[in-house]
Amino acid sequence: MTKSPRYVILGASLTGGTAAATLRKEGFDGEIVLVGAEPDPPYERPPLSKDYLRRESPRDNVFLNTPQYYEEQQIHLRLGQKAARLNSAEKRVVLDSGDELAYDKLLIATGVNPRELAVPGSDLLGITYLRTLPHADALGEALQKRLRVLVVGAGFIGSEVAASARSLGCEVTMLEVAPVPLVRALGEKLGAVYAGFHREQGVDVRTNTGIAEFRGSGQLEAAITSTGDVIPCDVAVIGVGVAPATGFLEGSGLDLQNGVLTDEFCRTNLPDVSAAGDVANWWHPTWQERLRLEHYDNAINQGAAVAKSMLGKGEPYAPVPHFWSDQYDLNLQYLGYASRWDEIAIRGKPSDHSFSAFYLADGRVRACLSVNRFRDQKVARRLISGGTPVDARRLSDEAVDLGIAFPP
Amino acid sequence: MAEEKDGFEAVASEDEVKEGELLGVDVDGQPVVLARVEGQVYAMGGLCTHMHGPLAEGTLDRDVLECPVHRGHFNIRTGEAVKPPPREPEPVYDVKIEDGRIWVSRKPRG
Repeated sequence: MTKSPRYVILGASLTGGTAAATLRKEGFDGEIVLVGAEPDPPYERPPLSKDYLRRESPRDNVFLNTPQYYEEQQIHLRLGQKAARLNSAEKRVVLDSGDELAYDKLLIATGVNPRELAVPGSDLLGITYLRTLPHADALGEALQKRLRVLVVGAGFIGSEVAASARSLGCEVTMLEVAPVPLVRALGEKLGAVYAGFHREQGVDVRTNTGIAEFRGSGQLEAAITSTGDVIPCDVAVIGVGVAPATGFLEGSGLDLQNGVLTDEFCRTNLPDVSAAGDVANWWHPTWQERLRLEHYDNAINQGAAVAKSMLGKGEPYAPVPHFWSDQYDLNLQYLGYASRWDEIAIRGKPSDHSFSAFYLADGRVRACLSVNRFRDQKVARRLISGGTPVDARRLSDEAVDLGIAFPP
Repeated sequence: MAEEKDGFEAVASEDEVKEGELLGVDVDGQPVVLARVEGQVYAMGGLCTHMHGPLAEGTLDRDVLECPVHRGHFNIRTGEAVKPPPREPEPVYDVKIEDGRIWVSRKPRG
């Protein structure tokens, strides 16, 4: 009798949880071990800066599956445990508890860790990151008390926290070292639009401004900015980016470069080792470039794709990426991926809180951002996947019906 | 007032729902989305069970409807949530075609 194969998944995350569920759905009847550093089973992170943070939705809603599900599906959870080392020659993972786990196939879905800010006073009470459920629980309590909030870093996490805090009536200051919020994802033009949205809502947005120091005795009382301003505050939320959680893989022989390098089947350079989700820097076969995405949609889709690939039923993973961000009453949708662009065609007026921005390179739409405007996303999907040459002026011209101009 | 008969309500003419397309209607005051897949018309709850996204403004790929807001998926035939963020199913309604019109049951199935 042959021993049933054991698939080990590092990361009890959206990606890891989806991969485990997909393995079972696809008929895998071997052993599945899901190892997670956090004490909770896989949950969704988007609500942590939005409805869950504002206490508008219950805790149960964030979990991907019920505890019973893992029992029924015989997915063995090892929570509160981290991988410390990978020994690929012997096909073993060493956990920080000292336990060793042998694997037949291994999935690395360890995600990312927040970048830590090292300025004087960083250890004062009231300074927090926002990555985990316990972070959201503690910050949510502070927001209910209408405390004065300082947001350091106007990326998506920072911007969403600012919006949630402001919606709950907190006084909010947001600092950003770049000239505009969200500059890495959206560029300067659209970042400036978002700075305007936050200011309209009463957030004190200070760009080209970093943090120099936190002050207080035990508890945070004020922050000193890089420009020397003093901002009194009770809570500071740090959102200055993330780094792939690959520390334990140093020296394992695995190719690392801005995450774990994989091919279009989510396979790494080591036999029987795959990677997916935020930690994976994968090769997009249609676009012929590497991508490492930190978004919900990718976490799920790549989690499902890697599971099939591990079972030998894989297809090249070549999605048109998508993400969303909800801030105030603004639903942002972003489809595609533009690492560079020649021009941005804006359709509609940002001041109406309903518009789209088409990012074009070489006369083709590479990405489309829409705010409160679903219909443009449908056309954008066709234009992006089709690589259709298009005149930017037509995209901006609202007299042109895009559905008719670019039919399915 | 929509025409009503035997617990069904006439909500649209048959040719208003083309293959692969969606149409938002009201049934007994509730938003419902109609879709036609392989010739057959289906009726499902019109607001996403996640955050009330308007499903009639979503997209249809075979029998899977994608919510336009956070891109969760539902099976239009069964109402089952097949890709998160939604987890709760949508109600589904009986549909019949009579006199060139689409009739939807006033109460969901089940």
